[in-house]
Amino acid sequence: MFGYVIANEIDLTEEERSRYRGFYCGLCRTLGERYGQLSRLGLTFDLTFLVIMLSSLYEPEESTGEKACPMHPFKKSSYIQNKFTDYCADLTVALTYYKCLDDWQDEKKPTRKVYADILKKSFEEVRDRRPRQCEVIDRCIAELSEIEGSGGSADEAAGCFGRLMAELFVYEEDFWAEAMRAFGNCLGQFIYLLDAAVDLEEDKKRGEYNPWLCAGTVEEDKIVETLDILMGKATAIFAKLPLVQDEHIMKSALFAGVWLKYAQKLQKQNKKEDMSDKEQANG
Amino acid sequence: MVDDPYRVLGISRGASQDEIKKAYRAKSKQCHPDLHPNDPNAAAKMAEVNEAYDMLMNPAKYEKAKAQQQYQQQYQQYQNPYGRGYGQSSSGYSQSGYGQSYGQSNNSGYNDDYYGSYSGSNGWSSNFGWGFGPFGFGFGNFTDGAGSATPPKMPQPMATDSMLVRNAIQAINNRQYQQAVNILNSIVSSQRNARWYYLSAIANGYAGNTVAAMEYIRKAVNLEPNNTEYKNVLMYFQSIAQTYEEESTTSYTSPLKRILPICGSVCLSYSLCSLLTCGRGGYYFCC
Repeated sequence: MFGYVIANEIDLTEEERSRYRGFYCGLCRTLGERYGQLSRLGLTFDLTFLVIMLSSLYEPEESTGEKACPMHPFKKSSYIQNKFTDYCADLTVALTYYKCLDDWQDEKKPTRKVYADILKKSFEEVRDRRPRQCEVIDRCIAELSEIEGSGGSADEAAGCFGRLMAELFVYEEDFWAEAMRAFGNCLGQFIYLLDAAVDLEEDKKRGEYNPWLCAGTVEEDKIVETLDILMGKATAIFAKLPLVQDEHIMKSALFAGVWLKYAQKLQKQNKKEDMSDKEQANG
Repeated sequence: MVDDPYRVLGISRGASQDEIKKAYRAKSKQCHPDLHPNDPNAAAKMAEVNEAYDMLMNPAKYEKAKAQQQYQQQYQQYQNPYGRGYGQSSSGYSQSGYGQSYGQSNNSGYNDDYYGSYSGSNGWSSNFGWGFGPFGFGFGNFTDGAGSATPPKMPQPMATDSMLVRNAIQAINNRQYQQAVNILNSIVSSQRNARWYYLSAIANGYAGNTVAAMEYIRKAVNLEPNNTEYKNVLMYFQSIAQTYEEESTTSYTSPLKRILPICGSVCLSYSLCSLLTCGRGGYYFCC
């Protein structure tokens, strides 16, 4: 369900791209430093986005550097670290841990259980440091399973995931907490429903839960329109926050990058349809 | 309440949103309590800066507080014909050139109850959220996200409405949106006509149920294509999508090339993401 909030690199300048990758590498590095190599598997663009957004809101001091990393042994990459890479590394561990447990319960995949066990000690550290967020992640993942399992409405399911994201976006209960919650909520609903739109055909075939099927909204243009409204709400909140640093990077994600995976899926689908049309014409 | 947000931020009237944001950032760097650990007033100063920013970015939120404050002051004047000292700040009732939006400062304890939640130090008031409601309209501030589209009229009962429908309409008008949704959902499907869909769209929209709201208003319009009120609601909801799409395609390279205004067809262009993916359940490596 993650990996959607990506900057649209085509719209970024060279400097912006470098900064964007710097945050991504910085988050990766923090994960490795604090929680070991395996924790890096949980690295996502979405939490990278959160690092950038919190850094823009609070403008903390940054430490930067250049280092070759295990993934790029021959090329040095530059990285940016600050108190929010710490925060998002913690969230990454928590999300990965809870998701693994949930998958293990649902699908009984042994790899998930193994990974959860490896992460457990790190997770316990994180839970002590971020009890509010962990509690909400735990609760929402469980609630979401229940809603999906009992055929709950699209808005119930999306709202549940929205509440999860909302909590992550609140670093602390301060002047910005309400706005960040509202933003996280809209973005979370969008991500959940976009992911469901990507899975729509598969879920239909397999008889799996899909919020769009529940709602009866299955035409592409109607799905996109509804998703646009959610992003419209999110970006309207975003526009009111005093975000100056890296604003263009974030907006490229919110206005364009979030659609990349969905566009990819639609293109694949069109190719399949073209091919089967051709087969029909030839056969 | 801050009496002159422009002064607090050090900008002139007519400053753009970008200028307001930059001014906030500059002030924030100056007065952040972390930079002044020995200054007991630092937190209060920061709160003032936050509030000034909020007043300029979310003016509608403060309209109500200002109206309440004016009411309170008029009430006190009436109560106290001998002295105009109560409830007044030392700067008096200056109708200064700040415009109507920001009310007058008040140093007595009197009005704190009215707008205690606007003291600013504890964050955005939850009474008004972001003046933004769940569907982007709520609380009388219809502009967020919706551009200049006309907000829908609040539904009024019709002679043919059943008791349940009337109750739902009343709930909507009382802003009890979840209650309205529950009442409407209790109506059996055989009685769910276009009007039911229209009312459910509004109730769900304001309750934050975006998918349901869109599905229902589309159904209402399908069932009664000549109903202008239903069409207005649909267009209003769509205006949020359109505002977003416009920025998406004019300022950025949206991977979904769209045809504006929404006419029901989406054609594609896929723009490459240069960060490599391994598509493993949403997790990415740079590999």
